[in-house]
Amino acid sequence: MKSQAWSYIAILGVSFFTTLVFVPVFRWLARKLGVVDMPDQKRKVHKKPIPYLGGMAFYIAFLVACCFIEWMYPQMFDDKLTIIAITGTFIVLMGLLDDLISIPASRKLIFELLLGVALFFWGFKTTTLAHPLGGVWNIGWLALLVTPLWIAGVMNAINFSDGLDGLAAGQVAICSATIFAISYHNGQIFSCLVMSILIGCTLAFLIYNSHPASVFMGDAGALFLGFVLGCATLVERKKGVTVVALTVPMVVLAVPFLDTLLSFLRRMQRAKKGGFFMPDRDHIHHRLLKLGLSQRQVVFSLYYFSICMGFLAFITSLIPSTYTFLVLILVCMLILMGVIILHFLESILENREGKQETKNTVSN
Amino acid sequence: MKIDNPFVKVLILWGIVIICFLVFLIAHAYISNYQNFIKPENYVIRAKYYLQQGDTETALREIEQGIDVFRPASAESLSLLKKIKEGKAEKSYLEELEKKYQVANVIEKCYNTTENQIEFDKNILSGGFLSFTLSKNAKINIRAFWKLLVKNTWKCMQSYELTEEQIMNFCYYAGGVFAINSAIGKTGFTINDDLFIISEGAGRGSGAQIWFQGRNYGGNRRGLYVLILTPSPNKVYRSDRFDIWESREAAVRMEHFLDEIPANYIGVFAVADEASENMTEQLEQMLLSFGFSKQTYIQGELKLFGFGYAFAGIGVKGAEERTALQNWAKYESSQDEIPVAICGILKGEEK
Repeated sequence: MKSQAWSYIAILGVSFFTTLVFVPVFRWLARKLGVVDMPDQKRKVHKKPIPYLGGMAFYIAFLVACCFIEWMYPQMFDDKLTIIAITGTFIVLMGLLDDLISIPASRKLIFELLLGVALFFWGFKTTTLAHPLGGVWNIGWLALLVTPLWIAGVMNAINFSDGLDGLAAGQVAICSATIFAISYHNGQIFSCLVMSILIGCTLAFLIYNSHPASVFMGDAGALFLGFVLGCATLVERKKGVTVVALTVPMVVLAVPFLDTLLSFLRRMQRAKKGGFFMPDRDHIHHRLLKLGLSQRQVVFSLYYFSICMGFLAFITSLIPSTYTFLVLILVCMLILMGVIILHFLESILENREGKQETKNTVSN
Repeated sequence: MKIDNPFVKVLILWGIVIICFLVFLIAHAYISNYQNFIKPENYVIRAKYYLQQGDTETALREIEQGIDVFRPASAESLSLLKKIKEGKAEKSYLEELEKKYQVANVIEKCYNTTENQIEFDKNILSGGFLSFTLSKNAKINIRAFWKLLVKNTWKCMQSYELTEEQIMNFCYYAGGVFAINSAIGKTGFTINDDLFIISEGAGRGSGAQIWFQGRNYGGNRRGLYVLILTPSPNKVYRSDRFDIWESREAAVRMEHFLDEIPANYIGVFAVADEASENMTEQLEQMLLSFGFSKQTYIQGELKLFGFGYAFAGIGVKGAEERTALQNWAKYESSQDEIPVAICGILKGEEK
């Protein structure tokens, strides 16, 4: 186990330094090609053009780390890494296309789901789901639906959270560290390998992407990170049982999932007007900014919430499955409390702004 | 450089991604070929390579070491060994090698057919390693385990009418490990009765058989079956099954079980389906304290047995490492073959 720990550190180091080297290369290329994110007054919070393509370094780091593992630790290498590299290439290609020529979200979703189906047949699947009263449900053929939905869900959750400097990368780093800790504790080598790569990539990227960011990961990077995270949590440890039947990854990813869920509900409301796939400025980080928090404060408060969720996920993985639902109830209560507090603060702010406007009108 | 057309930008970036991907594929192919070549279990690939290079000595060393470490020997490896040894070894050695090759071939064919009788020359089962007449009890036990074995696993042998001696020869050429002098390996202890252990690793309908005094202490449920015998006279002390695949608790329970066994008591072990998933280091040490040794490579590390492996062994509590009688067969998830490990102690009657 001790030697394995060193190998994870080495893999983390390789992905860290590869990302560290390649981010400036792609930042330079993005500037040369004019692949930059222009500021606008609607959704975006940055003030000057920032180059995209930083996320391409994740892809390169992943490929380099795969070769490194196969070369240095062949006993730990799993062919599933190659499958992730192959399918991940398609995700990066799609992400780049979206970064340069915005493609409709519906088409992106169809592509993601199709890749999810392909992955199902390559062995990335969950045939069980956590039962609220302990144990697991055998979902049989429904696994064919759950697998693509899970992968597309995680990808989009990470992509949605990529709205502030360092937010997506930091959240992925926290989620990966949590899943790494759980997998290490359970002796799940594959999951540990992938998480080491993700931790290395995201930590290195944060050097360039922390506020004020000099580069963005773009859709290519965010989708790739989400894709790798989604795949790694689907690999079965032993006959038919995934990490902890998706419960733990769901708790770990609570913040991005909550944001995605709220976004989905908003979009459902807009769907009648045909605006389901239209982006908006109502993601959690946008709403916290509106409350008057600085970018850094928003990012750190969301990191903090993710770390709390990470701890809860770790506890979930340690306790007998009979009590898992208690932790899940606690997580749901915390999330609900967070949403209510956010809504309450927004109402106070709206009232205050309303009074201010009335005062201004009266004084005028 | 100012490119305005977004499609050209897409093409440039896609080009970079595709080039990176191709470089990765080439590197991956190169590394995986190299790693495959140096993997201990791929001794046949290495031996063939050395043969091509004209280095027969190294090829022979590779193949002999490989057959010794990775069981059961495949028909391919035995055929290669035969090819190298032809005209250079003694006639009896070559004859035995030919028999092992034929049996390995039959077993491999068995897994690829639904027929219960395939082409097979029964004459190769004449003669053999038995230097004495089998006892009446041994014959009953052999009939019983063979019936189950051909029903579950080596189905293509079902329609063959074999004598008990022929069955023993078949098992021996298939890689079975037998002691023919009642001795439990090199432990210095003996068993005054015949004992047969058959372990079937991961696969459909796999089971374990421990035949002692006309009774089977194994079964068709997953886990590690254990039979404990008193040193002298050999009576059944305890027997149990531990589903180490299912839970770590089973492994801990087995640790306590083995811990309570007095020194010099005889331990008989047989894996059914799978018994390594939750194996603890303490339990492995406990098993080693019966005189077993780690002989099989699992991901580059020597282990007692790996995931889905068949394992059959007879040892004595407190015996020195490497003195017990043990056998194993590797499991390859990519193949339909069920690993079978056979082990036994025969008392016999002088011819």
